[in-house]
Amino acid sequence: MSRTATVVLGGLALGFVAGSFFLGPSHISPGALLDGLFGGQGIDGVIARQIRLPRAALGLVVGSALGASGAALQGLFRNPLASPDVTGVTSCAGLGAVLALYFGLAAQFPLLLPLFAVLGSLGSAALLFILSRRGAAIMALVLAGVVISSLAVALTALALTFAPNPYAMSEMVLWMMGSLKDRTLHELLVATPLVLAGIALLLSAGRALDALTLGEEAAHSLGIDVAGARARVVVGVALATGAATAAAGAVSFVGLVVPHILRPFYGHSPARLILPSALGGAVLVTAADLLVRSIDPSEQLRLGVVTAMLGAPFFFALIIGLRRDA
Amino acid sequence: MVQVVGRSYLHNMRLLHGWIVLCLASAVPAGASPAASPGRVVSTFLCTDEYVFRLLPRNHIAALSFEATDRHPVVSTIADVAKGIAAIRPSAEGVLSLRPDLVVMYRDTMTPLHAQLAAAGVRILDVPWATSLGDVRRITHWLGGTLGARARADALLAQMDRALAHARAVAPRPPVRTLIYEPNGYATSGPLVGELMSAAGLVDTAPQLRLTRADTLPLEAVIAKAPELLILNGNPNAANTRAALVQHHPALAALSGNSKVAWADLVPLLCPGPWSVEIAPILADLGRQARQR
Repeated sequence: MSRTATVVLGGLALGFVAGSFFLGPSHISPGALLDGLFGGQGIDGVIARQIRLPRAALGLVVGSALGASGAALQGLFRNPLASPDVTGVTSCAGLGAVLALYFGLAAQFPLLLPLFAVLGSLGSAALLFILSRRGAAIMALVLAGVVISSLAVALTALALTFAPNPYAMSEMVLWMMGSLKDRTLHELLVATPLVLAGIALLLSAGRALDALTLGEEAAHSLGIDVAGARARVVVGVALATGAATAAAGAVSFVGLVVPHILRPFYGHSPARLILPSALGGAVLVTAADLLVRSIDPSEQLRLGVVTAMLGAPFFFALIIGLRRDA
Repeated sequence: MVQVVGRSYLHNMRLLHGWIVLCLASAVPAGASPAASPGRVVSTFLCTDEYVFRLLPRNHIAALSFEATDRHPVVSTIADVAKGIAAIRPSAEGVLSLRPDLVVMYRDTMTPLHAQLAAAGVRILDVPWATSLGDVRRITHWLGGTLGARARADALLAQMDRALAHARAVAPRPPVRTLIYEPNGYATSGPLVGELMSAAGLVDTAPQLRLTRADTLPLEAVIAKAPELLILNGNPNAANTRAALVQHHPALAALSGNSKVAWADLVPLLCPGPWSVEIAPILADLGRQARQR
């Protein structure tokens, strides 16, 4: 079952990435684009390598980061409502990125953009982690996430208002709704290693996350370094989500929805769910980006609008399910 | 090769506009029509600020909109020379507290403010939007008469005609295929811009391209079109917004072999008026450079 699901996910991811690569406002044939991608010179090569490739690949990278982070956070907090956006991690990453970008820091040192985003997400993930250790209930954690997220969004708006920025309103929409439009190879090359490092850290904590499903004491009795594993998850989520948000803005609900969709196929082990969730996140984000461009080629519609339209009803259904269980 | 006509150009333009405004003020006798001029005028919009500042003596202006002297970013051609005049963020209370005897507004803008001022019995002058040089002429002439500043309006139009004549004299022939590209991927285009480009020996390629519903132009469409001259409208050093990053996209470097890529801060095009024509000789110069490559 899980093998079939993985093959299907892989096929979908490849299909959507190919679709993303071949779909664009310039009517260039697939053959010309492929020629351009593999060493072709001229306009086709530039469009293939510097515009279409970064966009399609960033869809994979951003989606993987959010999907894997959602699975790991749900395992860490033993909370089905945990995800980077619901817990405020994405919003704080956006705040960090906005501070770096709009006050000119990123223009001086481009790596400060993902670094600030990672620091922002690290701060919120660490805060939630401390709350969870103090025995906060599931709903309390979600409410804390809502508070952190609201504060981060407000501070982002404040920062954009004070930044010498004539486009403050439109840029706020970008950071709150996310977009993969006109991204560069540089952004792809900066985001990819950080996301890969983050997912690697999450995978390294997989066994500990499985043990934590039995409770903290049981995990200790199994010889698990619980504190170390938690730290790896927090840093891993911060790296992956921070890098993804720095590149694409806040893309919501991916980390929440994907693990839930995949759990029937992969079971309830957090360790088994991290990698498929990365793949599932990649599928969802690239599909949503394709949908955005198909619905509105002018791209006034943002990526996060589509993911939120999918995720918000899902979130409600989860809350109703939790109430029923209670 | 990317040429920058950014800060220095902008600085020169501001100086030029400042000089023009000062020359107009000194060339026109103070008593030409002050008796007919309203004594306390408030302008509520950037594009009416440009007219009011040029047509009326300073002491007749009660306030301009904050955009007239805003520095983040500079969006008016009078940002330097209008310093010292009260700047307002228009609200009914704010405008009424200035006790204006005339409020100059752009037609169909700020409709709630317009309704409140009209209800309060304030005299309002609605300035229509100009979409051609003919409109600019008509509106300037009409405003000159209405504000009791006919001589200043005539001087503005004469200056406009001189700039147009100069641009036409130095314009490259045949016309240079040109695209003006703004932050967020907007194309600077339209009938008035088209007329100015035509006078400067350029032909606007934006109408031939499929602009999106929002009048934006995808980056890859710009690259595929490869105009002879690509003018990046804005400041090359203002990369600290997502909106401006599209103008710094590395893919644009691919055009350097086929196109001349130049930066120019085309602030005078934001509001249509006689001052917009000052941009024509600059465009003609860029066109000549593109042709000589």
